[in-house]
Amino acid sequence: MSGAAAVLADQVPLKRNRRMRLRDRTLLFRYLVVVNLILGGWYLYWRVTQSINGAVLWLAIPLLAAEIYMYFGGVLFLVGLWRPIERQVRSLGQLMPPLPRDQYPTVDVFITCYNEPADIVEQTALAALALDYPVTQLRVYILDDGNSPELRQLSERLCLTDLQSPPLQAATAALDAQRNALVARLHQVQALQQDIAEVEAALSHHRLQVPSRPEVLPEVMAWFDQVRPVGVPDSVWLGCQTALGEGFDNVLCHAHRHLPAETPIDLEVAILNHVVLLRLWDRGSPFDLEGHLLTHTAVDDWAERGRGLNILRQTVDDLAYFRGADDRNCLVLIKRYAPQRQETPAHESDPYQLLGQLHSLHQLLLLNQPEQPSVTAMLKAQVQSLQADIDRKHHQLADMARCRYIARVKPQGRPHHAKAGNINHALFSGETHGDFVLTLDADHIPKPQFLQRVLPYFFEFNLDRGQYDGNRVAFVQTPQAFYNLPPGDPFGHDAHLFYGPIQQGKDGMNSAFYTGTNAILRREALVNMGLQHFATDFAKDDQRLAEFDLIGGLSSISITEDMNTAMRLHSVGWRSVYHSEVLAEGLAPDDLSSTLKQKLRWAQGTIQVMLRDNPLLKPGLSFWQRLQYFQTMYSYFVGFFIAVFLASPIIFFFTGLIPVDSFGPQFALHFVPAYVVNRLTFVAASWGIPLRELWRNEQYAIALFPLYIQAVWSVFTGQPIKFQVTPKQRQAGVYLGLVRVQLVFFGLTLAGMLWGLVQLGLGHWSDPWVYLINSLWALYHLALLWVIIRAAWWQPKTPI
Amino acid sequence: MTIAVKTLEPVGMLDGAAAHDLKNQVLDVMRQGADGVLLNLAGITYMNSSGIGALVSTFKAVRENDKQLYICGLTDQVRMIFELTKMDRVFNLYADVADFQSKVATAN
Repeated sequence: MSGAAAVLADQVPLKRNRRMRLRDRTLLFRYLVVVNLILGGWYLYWRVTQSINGAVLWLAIPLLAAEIYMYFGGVLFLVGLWRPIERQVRSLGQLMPPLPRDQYPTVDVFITCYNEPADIVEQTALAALALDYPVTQLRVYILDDGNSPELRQLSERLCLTDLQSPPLQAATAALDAQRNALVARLHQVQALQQDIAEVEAALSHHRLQVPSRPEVLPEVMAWFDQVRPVGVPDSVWLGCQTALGEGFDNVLCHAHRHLPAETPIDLEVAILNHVVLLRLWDRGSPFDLEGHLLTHTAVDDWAERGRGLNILRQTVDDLAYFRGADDRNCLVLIKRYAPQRQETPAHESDPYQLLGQLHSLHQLLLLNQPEQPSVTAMLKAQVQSLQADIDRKHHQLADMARCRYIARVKPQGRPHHAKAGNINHALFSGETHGDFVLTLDADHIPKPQFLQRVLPYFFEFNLDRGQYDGNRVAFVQTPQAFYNLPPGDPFGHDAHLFYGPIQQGKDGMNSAFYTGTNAILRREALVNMGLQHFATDFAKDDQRLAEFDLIGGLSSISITEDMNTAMRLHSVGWRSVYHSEVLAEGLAPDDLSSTLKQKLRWAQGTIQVMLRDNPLLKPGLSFWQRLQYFQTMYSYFVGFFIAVFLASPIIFFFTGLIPVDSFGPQFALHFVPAYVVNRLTFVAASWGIPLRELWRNEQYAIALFPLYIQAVWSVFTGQPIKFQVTPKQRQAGVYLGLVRVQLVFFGLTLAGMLWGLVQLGLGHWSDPWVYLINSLWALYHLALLWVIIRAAWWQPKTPI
Repeated sequence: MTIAVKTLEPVGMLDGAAAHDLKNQVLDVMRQGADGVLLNLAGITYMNSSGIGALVSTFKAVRENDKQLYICGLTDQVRMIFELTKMDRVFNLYADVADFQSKVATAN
C-alpha cells in the first residue's frame, strides 16, 4: 500500500479540496479574440461589399459563402474557448476533512467490448482490478457485446485469480471474522430467550388491566397488596396505596370521564429495593399536568373535588404525566423508601431483594427502548436484526467475486442500440449496483489512481452536518491518450487541443463533453435522466417498453451515444467536470481504414443528434451550453466549404478566373491582418501544445472533407447508419482507394500549378502576382492534403 | 370474470438491489399463476432512481408475459421520485388498495 500511496501523493499541495482557475494566458487570448473578430468582420464586410467579382458569380458566391461559414465557425469556436478552466483536486484519500475509507462509494467499472482480442481486454481488466480502492467497494464488469467464449473464460480466470490475491483474502478473512462475531452474539442472545421469557412471566403479575368502573377499586387494592414485598415499611406502603387510589380515581373522574365504562386502565407496579414505581395508563385526551400544577396551586379547603392531585403530591416523591406513542397517557408515581432489613430474617427478605434487583434491571431495559412493549419483544427484535446482519455478511462473502462477465442476448430483428444498449443492459440487468460507473473502452488501461483522482468531484463537505454529501455533478471526463502512437502521429490521433483548451473551455461553461471512455458517471444521474427520456418515449409509443433495458440510461438515439448523453444530463440540470489529467491510456487505430471509420462515426453521430435532439431547441440547456453543442455540430458541415476553397486555385490555373476583384494591395490590406491575428489567437489558445501536433490537426481537419460531406449527406438522405466499432487490431493494407477524392484534388492542384507556369512562360498572363498568390495558396493545400495520402500506405517500421 | 391479483407489500428502502429482489418476487408470483401483481409501496421509506429503474424492468418482464403490474400507496418521497423521473406516465398508479379495488377489481 505504501508504494501506491507514494504514487498518489498529490504533487501540488492545495489549500482546499478543489481549486479552479482560468488557464494561463486566457486574458491575452481574449484580447486577441476581440481583435480577431473585429478584423475578421472588417475583412468579411469588405469582401461582401467591395470585392465580389461580378463577372464570375458562380465562383465568387460559393467562395464568399465558404468564407462567411468559416467566420461564424470561428466565432463559435473562439467564444467556446472564452473561459477555459483548469481544475486541481486533492485525491480521495487526502481530502480534508478526511472521508473514512469505509464510506467510499461503490464503483462499477464497465469495460465495453465488442470483438477485441482477449489479451487486450485482459490488460484493461487487470488494471481495473488493481485500481487503488477498497476491494469490497469495486467491481469490474466485462460487458461483452460479442458474446465470445474467450472473454467469458477470461473473466472467470481473472475472477478466480483475483479472489486468491492477498487483498481479497484479507477482505474475505475480515468479513468472515465479523460474521463469526455476529453468529456468536446471536447464539448468546438466543440462549437468553427462555430465561428472559420466564423472568417476564414472573414479573407479569405486576401488571393489571381493569375497566373504568369505581367498583373495581377493591380488586386493584387487593392486586397491589399481593405484590407487596417484605422490607417496605408500613407507612410507605400506606402512602403508595393512597397514591394508587387517588391516581385511579383521577382516571375515572377526569381522563375517562366521558369515555365508556369498558375503557381499560392499565396499571403497572415495579417495586425495587429503594423505590416503588407506579404507572397508570389512561386513554383520555392529552392533558398538561405541569401547566395545571403551576396555575392551580391552592385548593379551597371546602371544595368537593380537586384535592386528588394535592394528595398525590404529598404522598409520593415524584410524579409525572406524559403521553405515550400509542395515544395513552401515563401517570408515573415514584415513592422512595429506606428498606427495613433488620426486622425480617434474611431467608425471607432475600427473595424479595432479588426480585427488586430483577425489577430494576427489567425497568432499565424497558426505559431504554420505550417503543418495545417487553424485553421478550426486544430480544426477538435483536435476534431478527442479528440474523439480517449475518445474512448480509453471508451475502457479501458470496459476493466477493470482483471480475464479472455480462453478455446480452441479441435477438434478430430487434434494435440493439450498440454500445449504449450494451451499457444500459448492464445498468438494468440487476447485476450491477455501484454508486458510480467508470466506463472504459476495451483497450483503455486505467492507472491505479484513477478513482482517487476523480471521485472527489462528486462530493461536497456539508458544514452543517459535518459530513460529505453528494452534489449535482453527473460525470467527470478525463483525457483520452494513446500508448501506441507511432512517431510523427501519421493519423493525427493526438488530441491535446480537444482534451485541453477545448474541453476546458466547455468545462468553463458547464458543458464538458462525455466521450464514452475514461469517464466516471453517477449512476443516479444516468438512470434518473434516462428514465425521464424513456417516459417521454413511452408516452408516445408504449411498445418501447420492450426495449427499456437498452434505452433507459445512456442515450441511444444516435451512434455517438456519449455526446447526447452528456447533453441530456446537462438539460435536466446535472453538472459536469473535465479533469485534465491522463488517467488511462488506450490504443489508437493505426491504419487509415479504421481511422476513417472512427471519424465518420463521430461525424454522422453528431449530425444525427442535431436532427433528433437539437441543442438549440432542447429545453433546460443554458445559452452557453447550447452554443457549445451547436458549435460541434456546425463544424461538421465544413466539408462542402473546404471543397470550394480547394477548388478555387485549381479553377484559376485552368481558366484564369478569380473569385475576387483582384489580389492587389486592397486584398492584402484586408486579408493579411485578419489572417495573422487569427494565427496568433490560435497560438495563444493552444499554448503548450507542440506546433507539430497542431499542424497535424489542421491537416486532418481539411483533408477529411470528403468524409464530412459523406457524413452530412448520409444522415440527411436517411441512409441506414451502423455503429461501427473501431477495430483495435491493425488492418494492414494500402488504402489509396479511400483517399480517391483527395488524390484527385491533389493531382489537379499540382497539374494546375504546372499548367499555370506554362501559361506564364508563354506570356498568356500579364500578372505574375496572381499566379504567385494562387500558387502559395495551392502549395498550402497540397501540404494539407498530403497527410492523408501519405497515411494511406503508411506501415509501422517494425511489424507488430 | 375476475382476475387473480396478488398484492406485495415491500417495506424499507427500495434501491436498485432491493428492487431487483422485488422483481424476482413478482416473477415468482406470476409463475404461481397470478394474472397481475399489485405493489403496495406504502411501507417504502426511501426510493431512488435505480429502484424505479428496476421497477420498470419488472414492468417490462410482466408485460412480456401478458400480465399486469399495478402500483399503489406512494408515500410523499416515493411520489416525488416518480414525478421527477416522469414515471407517473408509465405506471398504473392508484392511491391505495381500496382505490385500486374500486377502479380495477370491480371493472373486471
